[in-house]
Amino acid sequence: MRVSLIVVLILPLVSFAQPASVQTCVACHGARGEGNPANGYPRIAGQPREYLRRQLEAYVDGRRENPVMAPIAKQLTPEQRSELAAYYSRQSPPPAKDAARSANTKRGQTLATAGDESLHVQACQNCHGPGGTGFGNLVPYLAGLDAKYLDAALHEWRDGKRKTDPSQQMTQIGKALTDADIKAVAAYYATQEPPQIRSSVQKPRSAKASAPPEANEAQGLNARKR
Amino acid sequence: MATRLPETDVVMLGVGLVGSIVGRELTRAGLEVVGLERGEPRYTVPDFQGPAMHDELRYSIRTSLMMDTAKETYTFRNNAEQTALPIRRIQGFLPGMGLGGSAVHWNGQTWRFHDSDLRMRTLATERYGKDFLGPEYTFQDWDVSYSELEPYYDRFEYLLGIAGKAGNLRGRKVPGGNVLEEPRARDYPTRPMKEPYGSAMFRKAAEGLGYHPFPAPSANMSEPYTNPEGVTLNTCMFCGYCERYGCEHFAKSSPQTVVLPVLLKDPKFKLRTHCQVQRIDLDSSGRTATGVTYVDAQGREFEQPAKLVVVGLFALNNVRMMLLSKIGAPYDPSSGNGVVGRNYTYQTTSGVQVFYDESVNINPFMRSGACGTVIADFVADNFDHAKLGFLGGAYIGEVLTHGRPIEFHPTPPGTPSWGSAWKKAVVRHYNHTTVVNVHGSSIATRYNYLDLDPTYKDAWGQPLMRMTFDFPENDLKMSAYVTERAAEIAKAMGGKQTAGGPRRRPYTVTQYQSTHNTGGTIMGAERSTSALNRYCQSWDVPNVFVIGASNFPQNASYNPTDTVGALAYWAADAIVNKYVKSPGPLVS
Repeated sequence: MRVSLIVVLILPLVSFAQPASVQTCVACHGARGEGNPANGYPRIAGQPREYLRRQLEAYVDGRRENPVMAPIAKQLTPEQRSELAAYYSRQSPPPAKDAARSANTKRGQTLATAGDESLHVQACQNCHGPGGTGFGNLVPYLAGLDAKYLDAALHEWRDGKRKTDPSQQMTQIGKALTDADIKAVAAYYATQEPPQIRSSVQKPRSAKASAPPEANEAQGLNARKR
Repeated sequence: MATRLPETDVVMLGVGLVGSIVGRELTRAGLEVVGLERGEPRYTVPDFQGPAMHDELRYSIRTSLMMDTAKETYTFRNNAEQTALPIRRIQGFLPGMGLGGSAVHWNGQTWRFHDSDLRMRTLATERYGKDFLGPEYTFQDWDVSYSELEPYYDRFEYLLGIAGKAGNLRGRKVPGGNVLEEPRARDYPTRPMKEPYGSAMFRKAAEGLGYHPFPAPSANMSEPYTNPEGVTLNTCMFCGYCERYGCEHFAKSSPQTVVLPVLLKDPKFKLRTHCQVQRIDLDSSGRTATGVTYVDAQGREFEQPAKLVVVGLFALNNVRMMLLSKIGAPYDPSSGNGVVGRNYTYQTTSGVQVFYDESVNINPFMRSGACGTVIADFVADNFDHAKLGFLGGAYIGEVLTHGRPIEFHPTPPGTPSWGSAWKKAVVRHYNHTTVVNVHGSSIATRYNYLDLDPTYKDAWGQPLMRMTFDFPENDLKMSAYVTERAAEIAKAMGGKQTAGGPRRRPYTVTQYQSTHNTGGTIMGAERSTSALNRYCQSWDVPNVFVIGASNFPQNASYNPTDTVGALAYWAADAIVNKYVKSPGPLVS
């Protein structure tokens, strides 16, 4: 009993505090995951923890091809990849200035919120949520990510450089969209506000030692706020 | 006065599953086709997109995609002694409305019938003798065999991209597929859906009892698929909003996702929506159709002359259209004479719930309309009926189609039906309950039938159709027997408790059971006992073809859509290759 209580009290602080391995990421993604749009490094703050962890694993096993990220991810231990995902999923810095934001986002908005019947492409928000704020533990938010990154990501899907979606929905969508469509939808999401931290600000139901790790972490976060 | 429009080669009544397929086949053969649809035009984008499409109150409870009962409905009674009343809320079954018809909101379960369904009278007599069931049972042969329909099933399944695993390839049994199915020429076009956890527990239990489980064939896609029309479908995302909804992901086969994109580009096809067909017009002899009369959304009446009329409405409306148009003699249950309205059948369903402890997470929200694991050991004539005293059967399977918040509230027997104890039980059991479904056949009897209601009329002043139906004794026996087998499997699935029982009388239209309303314009070899010949052509008016589940002389254990699609291709083939070359009766 005493042991589990200690675990409950310490674990949240550990996972909320900045792990040493963050030093691997800060140069490009920033200490709080705000990203560096000017240089094409995406915002990762507040993305779902499991999504972030799986991306790092995908860089390791080659399902995501990226010459910069692959060697970095391989240097990290599975535990470090996990703690980094946990750390960045919990950050909520203000959005960085994105020079690539475009005023002409009407086509992008249509693709994001309605889709295109003639291309057989459904609305992005079916999975990425209304406003592109993400959904659940696996679907990333798109709102406020920089246009250059989103543009590159859709091209990677199209060109088979991302194989992390077994349903191949993203591959199909990438293939159906034209370069202009990709640019438009990327520009649209770049103009949207990124979401505030999501799951981790939920009020925990109880602080019992048997609560799932997610709830424990939320508890830790709330405790810190107080 | 009706405005007379220029004549067309073919007028197609209804642009749903049948209308889209037949429209495509006939325009491809060079015919000019006008498609009349009573509802609105609608497309995946923008009409089926999330999050609006996941409005359970709007689509499930208020049945927004279904027939508008403020304008037209059916009347219902259990037997001829009663007075039928109009169905004012759609609950028991779901007739679709709008472009794509009911194939927009269907679940996607896609099954082939057995030869013992199609040649039921002949094969049951051979195996069990002439008087196995009493004279009140009017089941009969379709005058089409499984081997004749097989190529058309194949075409339909490849159009839809059905996900499944064959168990019988030209007679070679393939373990893991449905080894009890009729032989198929080739495997399914796409691999089976992923097996959900509840289905995996069903599979283990069924295997343990010596049965032959296999993945249910699904029109929810397991992978991207480009069909022979060149139209591409995407993978199902298991969102749990299939039946009663349109699919936002282009991942459920429907006319919109498999054939309409091609058909609507063909200048030979003209789609007219919001057209309420009043009747098929006949010449003075009553033996030839001259076209149809319809009313548009502004209330204007039009006459659309046509050389050929193809009726592809919801099954019940096929029957009503024939009755309103006075094509074929209406069925009279007191004499047993007449054909239109004869052999109305349904589907005999039941279920057994399995309640688990809280360590077993079923995740019912993460499902699709047609994924699951099933056994066919008690389907059709796959088992010996000699000592059972009934004909027909049912498949048993864990095919939990959804866990939507308003509709899915499993609670064990004894739970109060409202209040805080009920709420507590729902929270406790929601994620720890699954259902073993029993989906069974419906035999035709002399007493179940369809005719025009003597009292009630629709918004256009036409009599409503009246349904007279209750479950026949044969089907209650079947349900009792197969549901008992399902309960045995359910008990072996490792839950703490099971609950459920067979179908019982009376049939009610206030509880959803199935949208598989079948019969009424049945096909057959004799004009005295069927409205249509084997090519789905009216015996009485040879330039009228009727296609749909209304053509089934009795309903089988399986869901009807695959057979409706096969009949659409079968009839279209007969029209193009036989009728057009030599118009007239195809069977004399």
